Amino acid sequence: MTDKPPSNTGSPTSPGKPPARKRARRSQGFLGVVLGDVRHFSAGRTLAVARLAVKEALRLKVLGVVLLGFAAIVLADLTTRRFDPVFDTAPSMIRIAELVIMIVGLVLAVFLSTFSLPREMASRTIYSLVTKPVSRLEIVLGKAAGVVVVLAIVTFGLGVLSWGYFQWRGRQVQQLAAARCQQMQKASESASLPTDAPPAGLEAIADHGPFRAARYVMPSDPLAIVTFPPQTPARPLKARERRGLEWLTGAPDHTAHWGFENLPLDEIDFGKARIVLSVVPPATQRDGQTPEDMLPEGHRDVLVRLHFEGLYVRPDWSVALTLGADGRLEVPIPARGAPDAPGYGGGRFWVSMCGAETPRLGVGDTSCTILLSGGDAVRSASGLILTTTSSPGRYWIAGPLLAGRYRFRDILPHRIGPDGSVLQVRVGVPGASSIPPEARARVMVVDETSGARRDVTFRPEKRGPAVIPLSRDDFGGGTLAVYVKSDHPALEVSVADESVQLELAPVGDAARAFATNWLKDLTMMWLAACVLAGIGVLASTWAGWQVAALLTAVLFIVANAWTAIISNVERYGVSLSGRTVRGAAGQQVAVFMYRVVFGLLGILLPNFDRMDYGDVVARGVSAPVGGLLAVPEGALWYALVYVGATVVLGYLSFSAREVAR
Amino acid sequence: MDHVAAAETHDLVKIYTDFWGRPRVRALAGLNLTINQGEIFGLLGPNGSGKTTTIKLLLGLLRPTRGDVRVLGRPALDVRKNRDIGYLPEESYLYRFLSGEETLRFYGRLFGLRGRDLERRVGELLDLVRLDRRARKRALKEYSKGMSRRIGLAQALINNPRFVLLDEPTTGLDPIGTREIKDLILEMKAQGRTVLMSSHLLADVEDVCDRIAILVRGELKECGNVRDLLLVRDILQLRARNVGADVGRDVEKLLADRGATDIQLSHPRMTLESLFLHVTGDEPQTPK
Repeated sequence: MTDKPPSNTGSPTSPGKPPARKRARRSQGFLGVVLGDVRHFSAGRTLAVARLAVKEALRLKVLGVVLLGFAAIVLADLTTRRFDPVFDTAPSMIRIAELVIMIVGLVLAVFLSTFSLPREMASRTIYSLVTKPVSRLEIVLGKAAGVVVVLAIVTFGLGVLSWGYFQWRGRQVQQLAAARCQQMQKASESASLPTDAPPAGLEAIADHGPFRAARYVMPSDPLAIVTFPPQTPARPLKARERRGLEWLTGAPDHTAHWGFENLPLDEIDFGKARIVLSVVPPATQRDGQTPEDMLPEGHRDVLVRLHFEGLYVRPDWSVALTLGADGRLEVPIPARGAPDAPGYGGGRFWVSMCGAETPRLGVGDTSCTILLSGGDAVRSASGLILTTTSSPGRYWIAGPLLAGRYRFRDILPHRIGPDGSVLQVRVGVPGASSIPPEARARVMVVDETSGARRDVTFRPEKRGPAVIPLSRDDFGGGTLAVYVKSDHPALEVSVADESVQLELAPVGDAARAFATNWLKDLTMMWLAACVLAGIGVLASTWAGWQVAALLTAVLFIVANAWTAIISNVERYGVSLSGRTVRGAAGQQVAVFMYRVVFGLLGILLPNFDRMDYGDVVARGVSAPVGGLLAVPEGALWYALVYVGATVVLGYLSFSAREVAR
Repeated sequence: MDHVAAAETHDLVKIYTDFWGRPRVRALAGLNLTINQGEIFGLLGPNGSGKTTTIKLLLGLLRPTRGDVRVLGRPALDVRKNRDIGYLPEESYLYRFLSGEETLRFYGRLFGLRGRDLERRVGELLDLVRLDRRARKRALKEYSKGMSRRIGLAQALINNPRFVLLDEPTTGLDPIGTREIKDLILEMKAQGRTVLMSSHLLADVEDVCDRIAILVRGELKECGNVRDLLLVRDILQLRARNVGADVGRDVEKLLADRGATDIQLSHPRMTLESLFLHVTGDEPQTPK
C-alpha cells in the first residue's frame, strides 16, 4: 500500500518553461546537432577513435597480411619466368609486387572500412562510445582515419619488403648481365663465332641493374610514308583539291590505307553499297592510247583488305582482286548480320590495298570512295596513308610531297632529363656514290601533346646521323612525331625504320629515381585504397557489414567499367537491344544522354585511373628525385576530396540514425 | 550545485517502428519524469516496461517519437551533456580486444585526459573497482562477468560524472561486489552526485534509492520517496535486544488490552546477504 495516489508525473515541471514540443524542435533538430558537432569538433577525440580503430585492426592480426602478401610476391616471382635483362623492359617481379600490393590494399580497404562501425553496432560497444562527449562526426572521421593509417601500414610495409627483395634480385640480374657481356666479348675476341657487340641495353643493366633509366627510344609506330604536311580533311576533297599521287611499289608490305569514320548506317543499303577503288596507271594517257595500253593485263592484280573497328567487329576480309582496264575496282560491302561475315556496324573502317606484282600504281586521297546505296551518296576517305609494315631495306622518298613519319608515343615527362635530349636522324641518298652538294633533308619535329613544331634542314651525311638537340620546350612528354623528307624537288632521300632514334637525357641516379617512383606508386595504390575505404565507411553507416562490403565491391567494379563504357560509346555509338540507334540525330541524342548519365556517374563514382602509376614503374623509367608528392593528375587532392566527401556523407547518414533499438 | 534537474522528460513518447516506418511497439506513453540533482533514483518495472528505453532516450541513443528529454539542462542529443554523465550499460559492452587499462585510457582520452592525469585516474579507478595488477593487463575477452561489470563501472566513472546512469549495476556480481557497488552508490550520493539506477533486484533498489519510479507498459504507475512508498502506517513494529520470553508475553498482553489486533511477536531474520557478508568476513552480523 502507498500513501500516495498513482501519478504519471515524477516531479512537477518548472513553471515558465516553453512547451515541450517547441523546445524539442528548437534544441534537437538535425541541423542543430550537426552544427553543434562541427562547432565542438575535437582533433584529440578524433585521434583517440582513430587509435582505437588502428589497435582493433592490429589485434585482428591484419599485419599478418603483410607477411602473407610478401610471401606471395616471392613465391610468384620464383615460380614464374625469370627476368631477362635483354628483352624485358621491366622485371616481372615489379609487376607481381604491384599486383599483390594493390589487391591486398583494396581487399583490406573494403573489409576494414565496412567492418568497424557495424561491428560496434552489433556488439553494442557503440553505447559506451556515444555516451562519451564524442560526436558522430568525430566517430566517423576517427574510424576513417584509422582505416587510412592501417592501409598505409600495410601498403608501405609490403612496399618496403618488396623493395628489399628487388635489391637482392637486382644484384642477381646485374651479375647475369655482366656475365653475358663477358661471354660475348670473349666470343668476339676469339672470332671463333660470328657475333655482334653486346647490346647497349645489356651493358647498361650490367652497370646499373634493372632499375636503369631507359635512354634510347625506338619509334612506337612503324615507319609510315605520308603526304606532307599530314592533313585530315574535314570534308571530302573536291577533284581540284586532289593532291599529288603516291606510288605503290607493288611490294606486299607497301600498302595504301583509307579510313572512313561513322558512316550513316541508315543511309547504307547493304545490298547495293560499294567500295570504289580507282588507281592511276604508271604513265599518263597519251593520244591514241587505250586503257589496255595504260594498264596491261597481268599488271592489274591487287590485294584488298577490309578492317572494321566498329561496334560489330567481324573478321577482317582480305581478298585478291583484279582491277579493271581503266584502273577501277568495285568491292561490295557485305551485308551486316551474318555471324561470321564481315560487315560495317558503326565506328571506323579501313580499306587497305597493295599491288601484287603490279609496279607503281598511283593512289591518292580520293582513290577510295564508298557508294552508300550504290547510287549518288558518295563518301570519301579521311585521307591516304602509305605504310611499309617492315623495311628490310630502305624506302625512297621522292619530291616534296611525301615524308617518312616516325612516332614516339607515351613518353612520360619523368623520363626526360633536364637537358641533353637529342634526336638522331640518318638519311641516305639512293644511287649516289657521294652525297650531291645540293642534297638537303628536312626534319619536322612535332610535339603532338603541346602542338609545338620545329623545322630543321641539314645535309645528309654518309658517316653518321644528324644530331638534333631537343630542349624541353621542343618536347615535354607525350607523343613526338618526326617527319623526314627531301628538301630538294629533284632529289630523293632514303629512310628506314631505324633512321630516327630518340635519345632522352638521363635523369640521374637510376636506382634512386626508381626508389622515388616506387614510393610514388605505393602512394598511389594507398590513395586508391583510401578512396575505396571512404566509400566503405559511407556504406557502413547505414548498412550491415555484409551489405556494405558487397556494395563497396560492386561500386569499385562499376567505377572501373565506367571509363571503358563511356569510351566505347564515344567511339562506336550507342546500341540498344543489339541494334544501333538509327539516324545521325538519333545517334547524337543517344550519345548526349549517355554523356549526361555517365557524366553524373563520373562525378559520383571514384576515378581510379587517376591513381594509376603502375605503368611508369613497370616500364622501368625514372622520375625526378625529390618529387615524391608530385603524383600525377593531382591524385593526392582528388583522393583527399573524395574521401572527405564520403566521410561527410557518412557522418550525415550516421547522425540521422539511432544507434540503439 | 545549480538548480537544474539532473534529468527531465516531458510527454515523452517512444514508438518503435519497422523498416518501413510503421509503428510496431509503443515503449513509452507520455512519460513525465524529473530526477533531481543529488538523489539516487531507482527505475523499476517488469520486463518490457520501458526502463531501458527511458535510459537510452536520456543518453541520446534513441530519438524520441514525441516529447522532450533534457539531461543536466541540455537536450539529450547534445553530446556536450556527456561530459558530466557516466553510463554503465546493462551488460558491459566494451572492446574485448583491449585490456582493462587500455579501456580506461581510451575513454579517458575522450574526456581530454592526457599524460599523468590520465594514468593517475586510471590507477584510481582500477583500485576502486578492485582489479588487481594482473587483471588490468589482460584483454577483456578473458574477463569473467563480474570483472567486466567492474571495468564497466570504472569507465562510467572515468570523468568523475555529476550524473551516473546505472543499468542493472549489480548483475553478475557476487554479494561482496554487490555490497561494494551499493556502498559506492551511496558514496557518490554523499559526494553530491546524482545516480539513476534501474534494476530487477528490488532489495538493491530499496537499499540505496531515495526515490523510485515504477513503469508498467510504458506508463509511470508510481513515483516517490522510497520510505514514504514502503511505509505501512497502520502497523507498529517494535525491536529490542535482551528481552526475555516473559517480557514478550507481557507486551503481547498489554497490546491486546489496548485493543491491538493481529499481534505477532517473533525474532527477526537477517538477510542472506548479511549472513554471506558476515561469513566471508566483510561485514559484522547484524539483523536488518
